[in-house]
Amino acid sequence: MKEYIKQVQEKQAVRSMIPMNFQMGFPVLNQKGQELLAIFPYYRTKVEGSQIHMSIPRFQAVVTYPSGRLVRVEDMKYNSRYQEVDFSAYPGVFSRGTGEHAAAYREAVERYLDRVGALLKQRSDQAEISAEQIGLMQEELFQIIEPFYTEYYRKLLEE
Amino acid sequence: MGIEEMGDFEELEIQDRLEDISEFEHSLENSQGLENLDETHIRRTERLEEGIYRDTIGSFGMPAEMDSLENELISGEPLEDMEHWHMQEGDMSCAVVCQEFVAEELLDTELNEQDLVEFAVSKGWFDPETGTTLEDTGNILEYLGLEVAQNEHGSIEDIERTLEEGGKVIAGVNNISLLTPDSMESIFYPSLTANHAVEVIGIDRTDPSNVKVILNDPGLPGGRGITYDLEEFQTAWNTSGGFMVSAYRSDK
Repeated sequence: MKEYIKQVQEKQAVRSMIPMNFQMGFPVLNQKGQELLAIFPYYRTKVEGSQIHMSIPRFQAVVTYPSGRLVRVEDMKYNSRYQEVDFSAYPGVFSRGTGEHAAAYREAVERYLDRVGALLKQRSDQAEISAEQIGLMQEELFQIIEPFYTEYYRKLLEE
Repeated sequence: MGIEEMGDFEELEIQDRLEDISEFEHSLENSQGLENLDETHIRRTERLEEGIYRDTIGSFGMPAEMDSLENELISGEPLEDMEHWHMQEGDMSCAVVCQEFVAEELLDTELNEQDLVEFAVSKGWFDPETGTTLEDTGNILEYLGLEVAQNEHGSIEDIERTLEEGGKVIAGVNNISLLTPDSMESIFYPSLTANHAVEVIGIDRTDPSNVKVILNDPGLPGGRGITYDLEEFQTAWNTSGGFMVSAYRSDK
């Protein structure tokens, strides 16, 4: 998965449109006909004491596979589907991976990223992705994202 | 001169049980307990026992620990560069402020964050809501007449070479990765990409088995000359793929 992230980060449009203050969140995959769309969201954080406050992702980079072509970099503030979102706010704090849950969370995240990376490779190798594989990926996603991201990621998966 | 010899000092005994001290202690360890309060006062925080700390405030001098920052095994000019540090005023202005540090250091002048922010906004290089893109990091320095180069896949050796040649370095890092090493219970994971800019002001190889990276981090109250183990810094820097901006005086 690291290699795919690196490829996205090196795209000129990403370097020129997505501020360095925004970091990448968990990518999601959507099947669109013969193509697999990978959506890479970008959000920002603020550290206060021992709490990490997280914003709703404001930017997205979308890459299509098997070609690996960047098809869209967007500031979602100007997308009508996200009009009601306050991108300047921090709706929640990082909590899933804290304390006694840290190790299990880390494993779940690595499992998810490995799965996404494997699916991207599978599609890049011209092999089809099944609906079942996409479904499993989405199940794992909702186990690792913070609760305040649920609505945002549901919207992403509808795109 | 040690902190005990400073004039006009106050000794404060703060005995206060803190509930969650892990992040505070990490910050303390990295800053060596030293924090510049303003241009003339420094605070040293000492851990007396678990959850109990003592703050001593003295007028600015040269705490003993800072003497160790002058030796030939340290690349860069960390002592001089530390004088230009200040905490960023805007949430998103880290890259602008790092450029402010660099410009002041190389041009021997005084600049102002607010002025630079307004200028960068007018040029489309900075948005107060979102910050600075990778592409635009360094534009202010170029405008001021400095020689600027971006390196998307820099190495520690690249940073050292720049510092040894009299240049200055801005690096893209993930600041949460710096704040949350594995030793802490609360691990923010994963830090997939960078989210912050810092100035690298020194690489300390005094102890080859324990190389330190010295930063001016505008995002931390104790960010003046804050040091990290090389491995900690490399992990945070890897999130940007090793993105760095080097700047030199054009008459180099």
